Amino acid sequence: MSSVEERPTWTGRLREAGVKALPPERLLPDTQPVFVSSWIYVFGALTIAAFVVVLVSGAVLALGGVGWWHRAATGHFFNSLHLWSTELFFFFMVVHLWGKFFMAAWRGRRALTWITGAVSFLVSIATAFTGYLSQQNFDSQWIGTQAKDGLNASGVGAFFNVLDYGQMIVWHVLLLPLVVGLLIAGHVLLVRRRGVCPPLPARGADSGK
Amino acid sequence: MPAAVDLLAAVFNLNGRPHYVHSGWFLISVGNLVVIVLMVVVFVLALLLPFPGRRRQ
Repeated sequence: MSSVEERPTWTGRLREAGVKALPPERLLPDTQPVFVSSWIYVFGALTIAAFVVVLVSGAVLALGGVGWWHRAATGHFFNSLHLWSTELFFFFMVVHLWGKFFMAAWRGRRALTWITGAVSFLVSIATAFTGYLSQQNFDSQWIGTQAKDGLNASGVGAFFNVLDYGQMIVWHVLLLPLVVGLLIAGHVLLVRRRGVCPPLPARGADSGK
Repeated sequence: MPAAVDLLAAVFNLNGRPHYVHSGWFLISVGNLVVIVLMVVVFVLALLLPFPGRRRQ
């Protein structure tokens, strides 16, 4: 295989750099270390599964429109599916976060993996917040009027106005899910690149990096 | 209404009057408290329960 410098096109250079950083056997491994056989290692995948249900149920809600769930049983069903999959998404993500925190999962050059996970959590909170603002009921009005002063005081009100329904629904269905999705994809690729973080060693043993 | 039924109603009836646990500075809705307790329980179980088919390398 020729080197990166010999490739005349950016696509070729990109492919070589990608294969070098993430060879196929590392990108899609068919085995894992024995320590991964623990329930605490399941919650990252559960979080992604819940995220997929959130995206699919949200897409169905987008088909019916923002008021669909107020006037039709099917719309109400998909709205409930969207709500409870979001609840499970955060539930699994918090258990995943606790597991990784107590095993110091930033060890072994995994700092960026930890950071992308933490930022995903924060952006997910913002995404859920804009979802509560998009309910079109008294609850969303209450949340919007309670949040506006704090957010405006922080200076973000110029481009993030919680009382602007049209702006909030676009942040909720497009911008923030896109950011969360990209962060999760980057997080998973980093996990593939560095490998799953091993448990902390017993006292007096090797560092486990 | 018995306390257990009252607690369940507080968790699942999202349209009803909210219930809170309040002691001094500490204030939390019953629904949020139940979710946090469940997360701790699931976290501890995930650490303690054996994983089925632990044979991979």
